[in-house]
Amino acid sequence: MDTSLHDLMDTVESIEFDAQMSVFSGFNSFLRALNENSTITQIKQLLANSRPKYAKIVLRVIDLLAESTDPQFAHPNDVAIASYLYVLSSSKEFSVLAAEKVLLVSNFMWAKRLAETILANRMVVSQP
Amino acid sequence: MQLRAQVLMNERGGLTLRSVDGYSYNCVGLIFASRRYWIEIDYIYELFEADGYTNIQRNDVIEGDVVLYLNDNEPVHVALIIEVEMVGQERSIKVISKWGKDAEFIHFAENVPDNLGRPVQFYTDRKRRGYIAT
Repeated sequence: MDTSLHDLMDTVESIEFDAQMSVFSGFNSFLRALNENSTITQIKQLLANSRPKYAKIVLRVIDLLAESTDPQFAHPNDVAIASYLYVLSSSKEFSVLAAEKVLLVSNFMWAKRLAETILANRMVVSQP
Repeated sequence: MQLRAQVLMNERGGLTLRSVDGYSYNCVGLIFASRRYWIEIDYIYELFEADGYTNIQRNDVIEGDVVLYLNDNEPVHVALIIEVEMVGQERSIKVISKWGKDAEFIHFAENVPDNLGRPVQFYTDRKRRGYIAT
């Protein structure tokens, strides 16, 4: 795996990133924070025109979705998966694929909202 | 959630952890729905109007009033004022608020992450007739 992308993905899945991105009380504020986040910006730059890297992110989303969680509680990977959907959203093909998988799993909040937005609008949310 | 709360407390001092209840409510739900619901911050001005809140100056706030945080003029966060103290000519304001999906904290009004904006608007549900500035 590309070392830089690997490191950035580790950051996105860290408890520090989760805490930082969980403080928002509105979907628009959350999206704005993603858009302004330097880690997310770097991932988007690395993804540009690289189908293998897009695929790598989609596979990681699928891995995270497969993790066992307690449906009584919010999904522990909600922020990470929402962040991946956001970076994927510069590609309709990959974002729709991931969004459809996300909506098969319950107890998401931001990830669910983002997946619904991608599928409902069939539009690009973020620019590469 | 406990871990996230600890991370936030380690990142910045001056936070008192009140609760890490995993129930899905946010800062708006804490104040306007008795901690029962998640209400998007985008509806905050409609709530102020529906519940008869009035915009007041920082110098007029007392305990029980509400502070709204803006980022580029967009509402991002809201908190309940629980303590007002004069420090020189300035009002030091302490609030209780829930940070999105994270914990409920007691903190000074200015002590929030940068991306939650700044505490710039103040509101009260006190009626004009009973309005007593302290």
